[in-house]
Amino acid sequence: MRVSLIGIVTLGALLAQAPAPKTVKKIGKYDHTKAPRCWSLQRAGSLMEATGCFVALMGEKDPALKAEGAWGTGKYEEAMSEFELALKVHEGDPAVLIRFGELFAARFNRGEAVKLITQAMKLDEGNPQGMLAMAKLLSKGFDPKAAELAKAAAEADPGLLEARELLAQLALENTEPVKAGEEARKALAINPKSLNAMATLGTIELLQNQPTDQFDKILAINPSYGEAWYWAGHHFVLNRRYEEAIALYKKAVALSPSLWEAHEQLGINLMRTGKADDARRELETAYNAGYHSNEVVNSLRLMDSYKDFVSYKFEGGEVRLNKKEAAILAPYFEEEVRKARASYEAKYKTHLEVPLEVEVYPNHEDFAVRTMGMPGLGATGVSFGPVVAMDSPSARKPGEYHWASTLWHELSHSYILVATKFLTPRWFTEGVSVHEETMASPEWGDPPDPSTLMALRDKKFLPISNLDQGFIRPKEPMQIQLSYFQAGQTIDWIVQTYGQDAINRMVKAFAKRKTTVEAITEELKLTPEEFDTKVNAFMNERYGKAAESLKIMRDSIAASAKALEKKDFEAAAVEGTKAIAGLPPGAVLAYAYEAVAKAYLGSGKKNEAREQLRLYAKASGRNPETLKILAKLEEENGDKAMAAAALQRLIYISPVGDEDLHRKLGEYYLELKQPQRALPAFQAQLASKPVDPAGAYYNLAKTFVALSRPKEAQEALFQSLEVAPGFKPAQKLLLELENHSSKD
Amino acid sequence: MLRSLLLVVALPLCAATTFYVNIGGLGGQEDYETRFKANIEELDKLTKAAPQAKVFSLSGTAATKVKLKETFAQIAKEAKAEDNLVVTLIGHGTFDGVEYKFNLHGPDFSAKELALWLVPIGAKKQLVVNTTSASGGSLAELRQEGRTVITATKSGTEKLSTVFPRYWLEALRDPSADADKNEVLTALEAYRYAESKTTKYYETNKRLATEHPMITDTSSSNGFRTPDVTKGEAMVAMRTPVLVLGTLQNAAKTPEKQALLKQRETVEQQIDNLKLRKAAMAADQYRTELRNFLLQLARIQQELDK
Repeated sequence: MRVSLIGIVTLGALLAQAPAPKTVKKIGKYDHTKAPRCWSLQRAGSLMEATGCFVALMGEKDPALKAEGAWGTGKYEEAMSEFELALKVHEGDPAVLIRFGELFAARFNRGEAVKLITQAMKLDEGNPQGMLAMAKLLSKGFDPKAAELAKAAAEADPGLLEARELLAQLALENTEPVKAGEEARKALAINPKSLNAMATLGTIELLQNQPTDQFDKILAINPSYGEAWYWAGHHFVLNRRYEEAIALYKKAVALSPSLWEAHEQLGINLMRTGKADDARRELETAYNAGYHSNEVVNSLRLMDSYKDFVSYKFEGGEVRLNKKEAAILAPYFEEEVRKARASYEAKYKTHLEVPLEVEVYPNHEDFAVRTMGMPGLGATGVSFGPVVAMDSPSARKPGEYHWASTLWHELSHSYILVATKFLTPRWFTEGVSVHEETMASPEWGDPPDPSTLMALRDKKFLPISNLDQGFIRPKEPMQIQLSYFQAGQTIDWIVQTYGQDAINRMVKAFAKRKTTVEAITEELKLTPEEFDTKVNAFMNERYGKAAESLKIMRDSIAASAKALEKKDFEAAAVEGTKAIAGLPPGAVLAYAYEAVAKAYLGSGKKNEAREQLRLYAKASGRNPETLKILAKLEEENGDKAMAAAALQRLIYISPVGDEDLHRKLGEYYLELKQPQRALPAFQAQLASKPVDPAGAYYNLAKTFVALSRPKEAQEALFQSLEVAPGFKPAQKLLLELENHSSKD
Repeated sequence: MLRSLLLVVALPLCAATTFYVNIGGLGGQEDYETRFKANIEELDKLTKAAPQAKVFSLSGTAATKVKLKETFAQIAKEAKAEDNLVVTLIGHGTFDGVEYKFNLHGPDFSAKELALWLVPIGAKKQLVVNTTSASGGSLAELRQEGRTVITATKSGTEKLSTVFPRYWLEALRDPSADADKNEVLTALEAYRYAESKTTKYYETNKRLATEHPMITDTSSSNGFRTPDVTKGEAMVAMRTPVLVLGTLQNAAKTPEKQALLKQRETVEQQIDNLKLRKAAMAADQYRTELRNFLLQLARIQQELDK
């Protein structure tokens, strides 16, 4: 056998070295049956026979078959050039286009794959293989059309096993285990040895924490079929059960060491859970084997940048920050992680044995790669159980991102996932997270924007029994955002109506594998329909009036802005006031208050402007310049506490690159005799590379004096005077400290 | 070294006059007209408040090429070697690839023309602050040994409106810009302040920077973005005052205080020498010596302030 293997390899090598001249000859119809036999042998684990089969294909005259042979033996470049030739030889044959497209898909070029398969579909619209190939491509991006195409393919060719297998996978991705099971059984009816169908059935059971014998059956048929564990791992990732997914991927690569996509996913998920060294090993294994997927390449590049990060460990947590902003952000992140941990442990009666780890990326695309292995992610934070990755405030334009809100949101997932044993429906964990944003501070959440108000007015929200679909397979781009809002409102309503205990009871119900409908029926004593009616009434009570007055609100804001342009401040105030009349701050678009405040400021009515800006802040207004104006107005009004409160909001919005913010905040707190709050502010000022380091050290020294920490005060003064030896206030304080210490 | 150099500069300030020429250019649009006018008004206010200041402010229709030429000619007659000259340009600049021009009512003036107007002026410490778009295009013409030239952009091709003037004015009114707290805001200190704030403005707002401020004080340098004085960069700028703050000019009124000032200068020189030796010293020894000097200096200052 060994000899024959060498013989096969040698033959393959010879064939590779001496490719046939690439001339176009019409050689008859493409024999569609030859290559699938080789692939079936490979899938069944008969590797020797499969290799022999592929090598034999390479000896065929037909370039389409040669291409399959080269592909099967890992000679991708050769396969490509043979397919190019095959396109000319079998001009107009959709099968060749489809197979060439599938090769591109397998070699990380989705664009070319889509192009070729689309071309094939134009030639033969109802081609089952074409529909299946396109469905597979679309399924990678969780496109709802994937299921439609797979279904059409299965109906067009009832014997098309892969279509049924894919339908089973897609149903499970869609959290429809019953439907997934049905599709898997249909696949088994086509071929009782369908390993992928068995893998789906086994995964359904594993996800429900139930024992399964499906994987034993798979091993009995093909002892090296790692793909089954790979797919199981994929579904565990979708259910945020990362540690279990890692164990499944490990099994996949142990059974099938050359299953590079499993190495890739194992690496990415090890990275997600903070095991950087192990992750790098897996990703490099895939890379070194020529598996240069975007995910592998991006992730390795990102890991190379980890040298620029620094870690801060504290009791119950760890924060990893980029060195360039670590000193500014570390105290604030640590404080919020500590607070969130204490709050969630008490509220959800769940103790995490491990520290909460938070990674903060100043480059949004690094965060995206960290999360998905690919750039282009719209989210700002992701929870991988106790590990959270998120955008730094410096990753976004000032005013468009509230980092503390995102942090609390993601850390809430960490608790709900653990408390429900990772069995939470998506809407529930997202709803609790959105709810928790406003529990930390009512201003931290995102109030409904115009499109959400329109959706409320047009009754576009999903029934609770189907709300998960809004997150997983949104039917329109806005549906994800609407689903977050709806889920948050739903949890608000449950807490307001039944109390926090009801949430905790639902957590327990989900941990016991109850469905959404069962949890609502049993814990809240409501039918899903009654539940939907009550939640809708709740949302309407909160925002219905705003939704109805949306047009007036927008028109008035526009009119106000126009009047402001003309410096007609009176008219601007009148129009702006129309936009906010009779509505609570949480239901008003924040910029309405901003417009009215500007009108008042223009006409010198500072008190009125201040009142409007307070409402602006309450309505989650986040424009840093506007909040600084509020602080100034508060200071002018003699209220330093309110001035500090106005600026403190900016710490959660745009704390990087603004040394004046930290200095001013520190000064307010010192004057308010709150040195413990002044300290992080002045430390952040110093970390912002201030234009006046002597002044920054002096501020720090004063704070240490107020905190009765004379040694640190002296050290700070020393630093200040080293920069500016003639700095009089620092000299004065130095002498005071000296006199004091000599008396001691 | 830094301190002793500054004192050499600072003390004669009592007698020296600083000639400020504040030039506001053509806005072209209402927004810019308003902004430039406000900037010039603020600059006038800040410079007029400085001790021994003689301020020439030309903006709007008053800022013509002829009038400017006359103004510089008048300063040339009045200014002595120990005096200072600070020229600030606020407005729009253009650069056609060869020549920089500052936009005025009537004919514009070029960087070359401005350089010629400055030639007869005897004040040894000269500072030209060109805050306009494309101002980098003026650097080559204006640079001269001993003259500090600051531009808002690194070249004439950075043609968009600049935020640098906003932060330059902020430097003049914000005491924290006086980094060494010696009550003399130097060209280098003000430049560092404005450059840092300009850079942060673009970083924080996630905008591609369309201006890169530069400073030079020699006839050959193309300028530095972030000069390093330890490498001998911007040494003249470090000694060129923009504004004198506080009560420095009243310091030496009595013989006792003059003696104290001398003592202060000696200790300051000792501190500067110590700092130069820092890298070669044991950390503890450096700290002990610096601490002793700082305490001495603080006590002398305490006496001076009585």
